[in-house]
Amino acid sequence: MLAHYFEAAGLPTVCISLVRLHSEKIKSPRTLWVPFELGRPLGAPGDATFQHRVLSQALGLLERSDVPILKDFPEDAPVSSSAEEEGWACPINLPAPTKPFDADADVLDEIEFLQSWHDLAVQKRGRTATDSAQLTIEETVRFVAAWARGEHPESPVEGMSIVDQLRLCSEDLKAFYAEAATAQPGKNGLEADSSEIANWFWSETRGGNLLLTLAETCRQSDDNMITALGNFLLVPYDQNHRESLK
Amino acid sequence: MARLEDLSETMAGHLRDLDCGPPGETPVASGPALDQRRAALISTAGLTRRGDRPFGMGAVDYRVVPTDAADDLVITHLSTNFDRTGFQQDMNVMFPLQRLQQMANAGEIGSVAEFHYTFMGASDPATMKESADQIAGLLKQDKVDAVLLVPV
Repeated sequence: MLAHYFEAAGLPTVCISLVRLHSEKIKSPRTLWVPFELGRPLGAPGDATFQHRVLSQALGLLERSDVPILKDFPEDAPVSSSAEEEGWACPINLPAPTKPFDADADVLDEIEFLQSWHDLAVQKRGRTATDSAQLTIEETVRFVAAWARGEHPESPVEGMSIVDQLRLCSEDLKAFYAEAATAQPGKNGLEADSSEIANWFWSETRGGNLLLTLAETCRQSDDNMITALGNFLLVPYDQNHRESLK
Repeated sequence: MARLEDLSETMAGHLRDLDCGPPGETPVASGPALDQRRAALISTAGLTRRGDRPFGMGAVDYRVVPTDAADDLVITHLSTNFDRTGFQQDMNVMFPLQRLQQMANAGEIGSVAEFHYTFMGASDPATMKESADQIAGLLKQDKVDAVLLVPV
């Protein structure tokens, strides 16, 4: 639909589409549908040649005026070898958890184990996708842990709502774990696909357990915005069946 | 894969039922050959520069991404239901700015715009017209004649 606005203003557009059904309905001027997972419109991280093939096909449509055009990209995204074999195993051995779950101590312990791998990931990629909430990773853990325990500390960043602060902290924590875990191949030399990283985070880490606990606490809130946060903005649909370990 | 049959029923059902609005007449604009064009990216992934205002619930505004600031992007999109680990490993899988620059260097496109723009795609695009019109003016000032819209 955005394409209609730009094109009507005289700007030639081309869309990449991840959901073919939507493109069939919207009828944007030029669309390349790609059969990739949501979040990866160019198909494959770290594969410049594959990404170039997608871009080349998309931009190639710009010279056409027989609109609307909906073309299918002919290749699936390359599958990591792990999808066909025994599966990725996180290369980092995390410390054994304490019982009962102590959010601050357990998660900060994991962070310490993961820190040097996270440093390596940042060095290797020249960037990080963490820090969206503008807190250090330790501040992030302490702030989330307090809310998970049912305390209500204010947002430490001026002008940021509590819902935004908590959901961005949650994403930063996930990003920190995923970046650290993918700094090197898995134990068996395999690269992880997105569902393997998600399953590892949500089922095997205390960081994941902290976010499950936070979501459960938020769902009990009297504040509708906090309840919505707990229901929809912390745990993905595909991981929502999990319960926190106490 | 974003084939509906490959997604969980919750996610597939949500996507299947999403209102896409009435189909309007498809407008068409034209430009020179691809190797003469200046390209800009428009992403709906809720990307913001680190420290910039995050996108909030119902956001219909946009953020500006200068070409030289692309390494400092974070995702502030509301949804937890798309993969972010690809972006964490390589931003080009979501925001292919380095790939565009390579295509410009190779002469496959003319040049890359100075500024790119991002929206938060969880909001209804029907409410983004005013923002899109503002961006259209800015893109024209930047002499852009190839707009690549990238979803998430």
